[in-house]
Amino acid sequence: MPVITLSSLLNSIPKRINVAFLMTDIQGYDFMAIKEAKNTLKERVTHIMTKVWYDDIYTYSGVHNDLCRDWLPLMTELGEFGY
Amino acid sequence: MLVKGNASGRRNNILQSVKDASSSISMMRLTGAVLVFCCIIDFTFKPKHLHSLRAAVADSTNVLDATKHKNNVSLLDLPLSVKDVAINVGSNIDPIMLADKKYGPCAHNIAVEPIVANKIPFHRQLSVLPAAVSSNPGVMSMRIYNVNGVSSRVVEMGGLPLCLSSRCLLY
Repeated sequence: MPVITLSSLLNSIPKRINVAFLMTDIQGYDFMAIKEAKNTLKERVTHIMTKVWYDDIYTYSGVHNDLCRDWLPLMTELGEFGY
Repeated sequence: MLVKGNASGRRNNILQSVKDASSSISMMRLTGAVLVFCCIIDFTFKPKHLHSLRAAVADSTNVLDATKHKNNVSLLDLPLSVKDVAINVGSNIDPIMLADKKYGPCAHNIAVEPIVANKIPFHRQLSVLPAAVSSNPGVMSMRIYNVNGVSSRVVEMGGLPLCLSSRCLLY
């Protein structure tokens, strides 16, 4: 199965097109995929909807996708705090 | 007796050399037959999944080559009229679509779905990319869980299986 990165997908969309919405549901790999593309996301994407883990309930092992530990620091770094 | 003995000896030598020659010829024939047999087996009974695997790896290599050159990426070919885009990574068979009332007919939707991409119904404002998304590009295996791969995820090559039931398949 070919695996691509979110940044390569976003870079394949012409700059004239507004990326209005990004939704991810990739079984715990959401944070890894979005963190890889954080610089491109800040420039291109206006709204993100994703699945996160909360209250120490982890659906899958071996990946990081916790709201408080992973997502909030990243979103603060990106300058967004609404969720 | 001597003459006879010499003649019989020569005859024996000749017979022995003829036998050696014939045995070497038969060995050559046998070797040739084995080689031909191996070629026939190789071309006829080669597992078809190897061909599909090679094709998949070639496709993946093309995708990866495209992703390496960020200024010349050919992952998508969007219409020129598109103004807004929604991306749904891991959409399964029902990707989200931008509402027509707000965005109109110039909006487009991109669904990235590795398992059931071929089951997504056609829509003129939807492009489907049959690939997985992760932090690093490459080629990985996927464990398929549940109906339509609802809970599937990528696994590292050679890793332990995460699903032990009979409904867990390697894609």
